[in-house]
Amino acid sequence: MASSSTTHQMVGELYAQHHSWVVQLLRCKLGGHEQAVDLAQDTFLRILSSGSVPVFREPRAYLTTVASRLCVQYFRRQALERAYEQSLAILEPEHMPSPETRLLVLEALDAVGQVLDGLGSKVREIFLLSQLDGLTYPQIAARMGLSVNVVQKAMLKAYRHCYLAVYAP
Amino acid sequence: MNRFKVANDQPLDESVLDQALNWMVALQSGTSSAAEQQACQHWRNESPQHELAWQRLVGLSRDMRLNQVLTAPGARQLLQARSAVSRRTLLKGFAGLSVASALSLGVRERVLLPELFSDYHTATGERRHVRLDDGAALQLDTRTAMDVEGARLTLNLGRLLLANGASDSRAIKTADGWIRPAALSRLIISHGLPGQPGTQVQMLSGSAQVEPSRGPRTQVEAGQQLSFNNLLSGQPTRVPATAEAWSQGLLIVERMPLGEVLEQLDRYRRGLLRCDPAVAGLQVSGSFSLDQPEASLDLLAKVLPVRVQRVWGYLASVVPA
Repeated sequence: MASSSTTHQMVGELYAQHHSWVVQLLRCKLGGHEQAVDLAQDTFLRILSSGSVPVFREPRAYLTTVASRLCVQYFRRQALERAYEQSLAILEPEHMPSPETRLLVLEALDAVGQVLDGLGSKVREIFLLSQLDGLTYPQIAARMGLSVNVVQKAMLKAYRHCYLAVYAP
Repeated sequence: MNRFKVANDQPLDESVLDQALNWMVALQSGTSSAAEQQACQHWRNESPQHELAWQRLVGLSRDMRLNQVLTAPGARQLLQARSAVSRRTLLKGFAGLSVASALSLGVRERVLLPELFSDYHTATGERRHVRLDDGAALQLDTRTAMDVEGARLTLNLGRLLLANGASDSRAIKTADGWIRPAALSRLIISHGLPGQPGTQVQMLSGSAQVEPSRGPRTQVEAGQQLSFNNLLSGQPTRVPATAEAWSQGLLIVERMPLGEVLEQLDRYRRGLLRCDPAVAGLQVSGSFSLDQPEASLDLLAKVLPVRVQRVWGYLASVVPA
């Protein structure tokens, strides 16, 4: 693995040469300039924090991959925020959570959602019924019309996925 | 806020992870027996690796819970809405775009790394207003880099003006130590500026505690300024009346050597700015625009026996007239 100062230097070069190109790429995708600048920043940050920068023959292909992944996260966050706003719209004003609480809720949901990203929808549903609703495996099996054995396998898969998402990104 | 934070990233044996996963899934089934729970406890006691793997999975499971913030059905529904955004639809168009834009050359001025990789950073010549969640307001000067983590700010480089909100737990960190302003205080903090070693605090109103990371604390009151490094603080002196001028885009100086004036202007100007030693000691008084550093250079050339040599607008040298 490259030493940290070499990594910094290489990411610095990458930044100097391609930053405005990445911003342009993201601006076409996102529409707004400010979000594009922010996400471009995140793109380079992501590469830096990954710890090692291989030498690329085609750095822009790599940058596109990282930037587009962040783009997906951004759109998902937006979808989440919209859904949350809608769910709040039916509340009486006196039950409306404070802006701080709302932000905390969104952050929490987004963090959990990111860890779950990439899981199949069935496995994910099983995992959430266990983790959020606290159902037992037989209860989940009955509810989804599956055998307990299938539920157990899905749980194993989901746990492994989450573990890798957090500890081996 | 600290969901899924990794405390240590020591790798685990694949086989240990497998065993831990199996134990976790068995014990969360809702149908595990006392004997199984004991056997799991026994397995955890066998080695620190086992216990580490177990604790990580328990932590994951805990971080997954959202019931402090939402009901389970509500949380599931929102997570569903979030993931309904399809990756494939989003990424359409990316491939073609990269070919088209590869033709435009994107060369930019090199940016200093601490600026680049901070939560907030300002470019050369940029001043930026930031409002924090708790109501505090910040203005970042040119070439400033700052990280925000809750009530804690880290000033990596540059200068900022902070109007603290009602928070009495605000703390600002620099490489030299901590500054803890009282609620509703206004203050300027600078770190790593040319000609200024360490960190400087200028109290415009309110008060603050200054804590060098390995030295004694000092209280700074309104109207006082204090410089410190990681070991000790200097004596408090009076904040000059012009301390805030930069936040209005002005550089106001009184009998300052030209060399130092140019050092200040240089931070706002793209490119290289040089000063001939023969004129560096000339005394300057006046007010100059930081937003238009070229005009300020021209103004200096009008009032002093100097002229400005420019090469491609990038390199400028101030030399005897």
